[in-house]
Amino acid sequence: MRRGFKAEAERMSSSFRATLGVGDTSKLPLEQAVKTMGAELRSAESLVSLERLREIEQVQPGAFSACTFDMSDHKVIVWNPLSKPARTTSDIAHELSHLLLKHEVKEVQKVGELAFFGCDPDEEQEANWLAGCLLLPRALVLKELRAGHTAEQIADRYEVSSQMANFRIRATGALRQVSSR
Amino acid sequence: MPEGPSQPALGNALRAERRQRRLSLRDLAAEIGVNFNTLSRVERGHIPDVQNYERILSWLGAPGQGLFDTPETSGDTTQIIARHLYTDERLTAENAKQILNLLSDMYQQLARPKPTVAVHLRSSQTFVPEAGALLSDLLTDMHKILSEEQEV
Repeated sequence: MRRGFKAEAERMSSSFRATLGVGDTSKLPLEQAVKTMGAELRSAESLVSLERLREIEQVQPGAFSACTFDMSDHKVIVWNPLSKPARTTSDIAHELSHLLLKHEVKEVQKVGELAFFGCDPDEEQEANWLAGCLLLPRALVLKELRAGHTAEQIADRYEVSSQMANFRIRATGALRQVSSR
Repeated sequence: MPEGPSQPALGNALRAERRQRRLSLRDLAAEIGVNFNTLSRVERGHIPDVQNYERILSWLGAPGQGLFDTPETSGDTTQIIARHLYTDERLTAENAKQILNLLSDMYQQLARPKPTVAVHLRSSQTFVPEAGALLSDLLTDMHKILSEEQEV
């Protein structure tokens, strides 16, 4: 990840939340956030059958989480209804982060019958990091830990996975700050 | 269930070459900048993303077309032609490249534009070929439906 990105992501999250009219210690209104970016949110089930999604999941679990299409005049974020709600929250926040970071969409390429999906590891890392900042900003994590809430409780309150809550507690260093008081 | 794409020989070629050069997966990961887990999965038949695929091919020093056991009838026209040109005993690699460049330019100019599907995709880092093919079809169909909705 490029130097300075982590601090930049916290600032970006704070500024974006301000445009949504929510502070750093409130739950992110995800649908409003997507709409603000001029994007549409769709369940994959509204476009293809659940059977096809189940088939992919059966062949390779976790093969498809979410994606964003660039439809020239607007973007469409499509999420997989087979994922757990907390996972979906992270997936949508990840896609939203790509939009905020103005990452270009990547072409799906085929060699013979084999499909290759473009992926820039640096951009993926950035989108992951920003998604965490958007869902659980440092100030929010600090507030929750000071209130004595555990990672599980934070996950429940903000409808994110406990994996995400634990990640943000570690990444923000908030636990150390709370413990040292 | 329809027959999926053939298993690529890429994994086998990678493992054979790596062993011949007496490199561990970790050595190779450090050398070419592809994640250890990704390399391990590729050797077991998974398909990596384009960037890692190119790094692996570059290390192998092999033309991509030869690494796939795909039927002759499938694939892009220029790829099928490339496979023939690069395996033609009467042509050197340089000759094959010259002919292919000419043909590719003509093809690009004369062929109708192909609808492209471009996405940000949150998914696995590598795919078993069958899952990759299913996902590619899924994305293509989703994109088509969204395009149709846009036209209405």
